[in-house]
Amino acid sequence: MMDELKILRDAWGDADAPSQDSYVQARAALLAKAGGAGQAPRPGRRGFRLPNIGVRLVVVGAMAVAVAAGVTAVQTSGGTGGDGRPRSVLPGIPAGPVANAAEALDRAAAAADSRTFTPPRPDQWIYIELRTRTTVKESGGVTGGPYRTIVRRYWERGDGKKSARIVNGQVRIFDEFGRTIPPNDYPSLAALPTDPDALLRWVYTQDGEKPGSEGQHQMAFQTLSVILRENLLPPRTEAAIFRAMKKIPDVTLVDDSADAAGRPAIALGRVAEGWLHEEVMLDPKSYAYLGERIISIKGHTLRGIGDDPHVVAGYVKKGVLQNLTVRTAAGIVGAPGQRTP
Amino acid sequence: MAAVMRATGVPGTGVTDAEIIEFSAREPECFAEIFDRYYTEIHGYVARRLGLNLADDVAAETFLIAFDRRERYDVAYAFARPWLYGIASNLVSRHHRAETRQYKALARVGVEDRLEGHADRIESRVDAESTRGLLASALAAIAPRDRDVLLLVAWAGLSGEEAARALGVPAGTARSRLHRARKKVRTELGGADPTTVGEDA
Repeated sequence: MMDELKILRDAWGDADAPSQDSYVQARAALLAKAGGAGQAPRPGRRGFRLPNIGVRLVVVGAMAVAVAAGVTAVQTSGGTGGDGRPRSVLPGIPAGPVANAAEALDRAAAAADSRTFTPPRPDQWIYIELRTRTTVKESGGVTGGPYRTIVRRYWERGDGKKSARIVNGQVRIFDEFGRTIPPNDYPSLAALPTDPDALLRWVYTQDGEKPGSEGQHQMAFQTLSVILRENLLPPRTEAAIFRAMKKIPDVTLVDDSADAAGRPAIALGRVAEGWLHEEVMLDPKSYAYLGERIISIKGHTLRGIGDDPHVVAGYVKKGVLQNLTVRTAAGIVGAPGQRTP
Repeated sequence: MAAVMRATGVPGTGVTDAEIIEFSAREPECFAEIFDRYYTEIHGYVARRLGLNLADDVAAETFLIAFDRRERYDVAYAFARPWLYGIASNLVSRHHRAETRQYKALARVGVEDRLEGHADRIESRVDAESTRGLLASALAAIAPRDRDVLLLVAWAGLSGEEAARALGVPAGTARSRLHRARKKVRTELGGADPTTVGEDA
């Protein structure tokens, strides 16, 4: 008895997996669209390019992306004094410039450890504000200027069960959509291992990459970067993240005089996708987390998406800023819609 | 068959496609989860029909269109596969010429291989490559509407009913299209070497 359907299936065998480029670009296009969907239509501003979407989302996983897309974050509570300016000296942390990434991360961890912190109550809200500098284009890689800055503000309730955003000028509260990977609800974040080795083991089990592969290291660094960027963390957790980052291979200090939107910064990070450098930025005096940056470190051809996939969408030269995200607020407020002073 | 092909175990969440799509009306970025669940297989399906280059474009567009239509998704259906394949199928149909060209190219390769093999091994079984050649020439000759149903069932692993829903046609219509298409394939294969093909499969 002939089964044409089975023959037909067997004859073609398994399809080749889509290329990494195609996956990344298709996903970025979708998220660019999704990112714009929640906003009121405004001429000349139909959506925006999400931070790092092209590089990060593929590896970190879907719900992480949902989170990454919606947000962009930062923690200022540790790095600033009462007057809002960075503290110049921290007890137990050596003065003077850092020699390498490991030293910078050590100091960042020590600075986090020395910070006082009151956790949010379940009924309080964590407020995060991120400013992302990226291209005016709607999607795809950044080939150069003009740039624009997107401000994102969001609130997460302390019990992790609600989140809030501004939609069409109104505060809207959403039910949290289950657990995400990586977590973005405070209870889950506070439950992460505070031992750097344990945290690293946890990070390395968050994906399906081959153990010990470059993909895994990249994923681990990106996951930790996302957690840092988008959340208000207990100091011990933040310290563990810095110490875990130190243990990921090939993390290097690239710049001890980076510019985090007008503020001096130390940048350290890893090569991603062979042509990008993904960096975490720290305050050069207080070692508080400032934000992150992605820069092309060699030329790269982008392929088109949309009506004609054969069109080369652009060529990114070396040294072009892809994304600069500075966290301008991370604190606790009483109600969604409120901002930290 | 559909059950076998269906993605099992969704990492990270126990949430159904329908719940995600419903939720994405409010939180649009969550739709990325649908992308992650299905992009690779949709891409694979389109690549078989149109080749890799067009597949990148068509698979990407499938999800953009799905996103636009997410509020019209019937959440009574937990799995979004048929819905997504329906969108992909409609997009593929814009490229019938490219699709036919691709099958004709495969048919040529297959037949040449088969003739060489035949010279060497008179009673040889039909190998996968030459079977594919025959199938490709059959596919090129099948009416596009019939082919849509056939391939949704054979390659995408949908049931006849799911294929009907994907394409927005009555189940009876899908059944008769599938029947016609299968007959054509059978004739093509049977005309070549019915017994050996049967064993090989």
